[in-house]
Amino acid sequence: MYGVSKVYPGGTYALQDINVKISRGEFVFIVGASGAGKSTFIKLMFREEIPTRGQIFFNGKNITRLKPREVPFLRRRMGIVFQDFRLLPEKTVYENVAFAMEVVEASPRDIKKRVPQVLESVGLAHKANSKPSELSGGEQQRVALARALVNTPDVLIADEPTGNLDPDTSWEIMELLSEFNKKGTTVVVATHARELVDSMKKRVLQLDKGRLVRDEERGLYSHEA
Amino acid sequence: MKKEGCIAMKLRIFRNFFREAFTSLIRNRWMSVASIGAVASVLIIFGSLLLISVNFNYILKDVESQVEITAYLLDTADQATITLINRQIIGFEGVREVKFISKEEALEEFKQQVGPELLEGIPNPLPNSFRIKVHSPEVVVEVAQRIEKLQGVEQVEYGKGIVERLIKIVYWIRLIGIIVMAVFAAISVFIISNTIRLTVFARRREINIMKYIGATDWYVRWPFLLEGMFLGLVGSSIAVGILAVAYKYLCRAVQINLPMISLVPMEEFNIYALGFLLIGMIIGALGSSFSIKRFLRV
Repeated sequence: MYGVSKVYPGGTYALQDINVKISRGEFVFIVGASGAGKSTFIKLMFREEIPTRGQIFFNGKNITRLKPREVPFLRRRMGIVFQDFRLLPEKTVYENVAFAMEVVEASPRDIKKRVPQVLESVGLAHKANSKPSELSGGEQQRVALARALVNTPDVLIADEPTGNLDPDTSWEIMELLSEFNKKGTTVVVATHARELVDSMKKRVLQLDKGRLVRDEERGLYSHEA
Repeated sequence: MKKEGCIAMKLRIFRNFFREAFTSLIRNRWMSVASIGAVASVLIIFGSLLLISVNFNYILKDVESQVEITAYLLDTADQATITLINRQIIGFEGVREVKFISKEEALEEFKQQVGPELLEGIPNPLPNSFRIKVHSPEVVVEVAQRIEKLQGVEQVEYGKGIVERLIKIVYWIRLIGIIVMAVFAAISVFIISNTIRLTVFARRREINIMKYIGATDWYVRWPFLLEGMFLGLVGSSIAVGILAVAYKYLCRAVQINLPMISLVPMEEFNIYALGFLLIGMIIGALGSSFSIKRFLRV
């Protein structure tokens, strides 16, 4: 089971008294203006930051109490996608994805089998030998997505995945996310792409000045006026 | 993870680490050469100092071992007393050697020094005596005082000032040597850590991504450690090579020109050489771990 429940106030202006439970298989948007605490929320999830107060549980384990040594193994259960893609420019698409498996010390046999599968699933099998610089922004983000998914994580965390993309490409990415969600991966997306959130009709968590102001199933980006 | 053995897998991962370390050595070849050069020169200075201090100690040991205590006996002491005194002195802690010099032997020796004609016709004025050698100069004073208290001993003599001064000189040389070496070791660590920092900096994105993907700290660290250790090892090998050649010539020159001074033999140098290579590697590893530290905190 994947369940996060957290209660924590940030120091001055991070997050305050957030109580959320995200269940396995859910698709959740985190929305809010810049500085509302979306990024902090995301960082807390994969333990880049530790809450000043409160507890966070992942798969029944309290991740606020993890030793630094245990953190890598937590992150192996999570796939992370960033606004700026974070691909390695000197490696090819294939190598970028394979890299994620090498890092977790997978066998070459598994890598050879798994990487083409994932590239296929994001529709980039034909670009396997290209360098990231030869790809469009949308394609680069799909590579990042493939890299996040290659180790079959329990949850996919995306921080502004469409922040650098045009609306059409953003749509493609969201559709991919939604597709992987249907296959069983929990997806958490921080975004302020209003139209996308509105049309996807998923669960929406709205943050404002560090507080959770709304938690709505099939929600819209903002309250109706 | 299939059936692949755990050891085989670790080996494969380590092969990758080596490959990465060497790739980055070659990519930053000029910085690598520069830091190897820096380590080598630092270790040469460091090594010269070490050799000087080791040899100084060696020569001092030689001098120290020549420090003697002479105990003059009363003329009234008979053979039994002399035997007893001998046994007692041998029993003292730190005593290495006791030698009895009879009146006649002392006279013989004296005659040789001043010429026989001077002492013609005079009764032998010299007393029986013991010459005592000790293990280390620190105990000279104590041993001398204990001998003085023995029955039948008239007077004890030893190179009072010399002994104390020697002890002080040895102490200072050791202390200065240790300080200078520590400083030079720190400099080497700093230089290597700067070189590795370049590599780390060039790969900071990669490290960052690795950490997000779930790489362990050691997985990230190993290639850099290997790189640093390699730099240190090559640097120290060069230093050892140069020092070995130089020392060989020095030994030969000293042997020919100053035969009374004996230097630490070459065989002993080899033991230091091994230690040097080890030090080089440790310096390299330390240097790189300093540079990585900051980037692991994600």
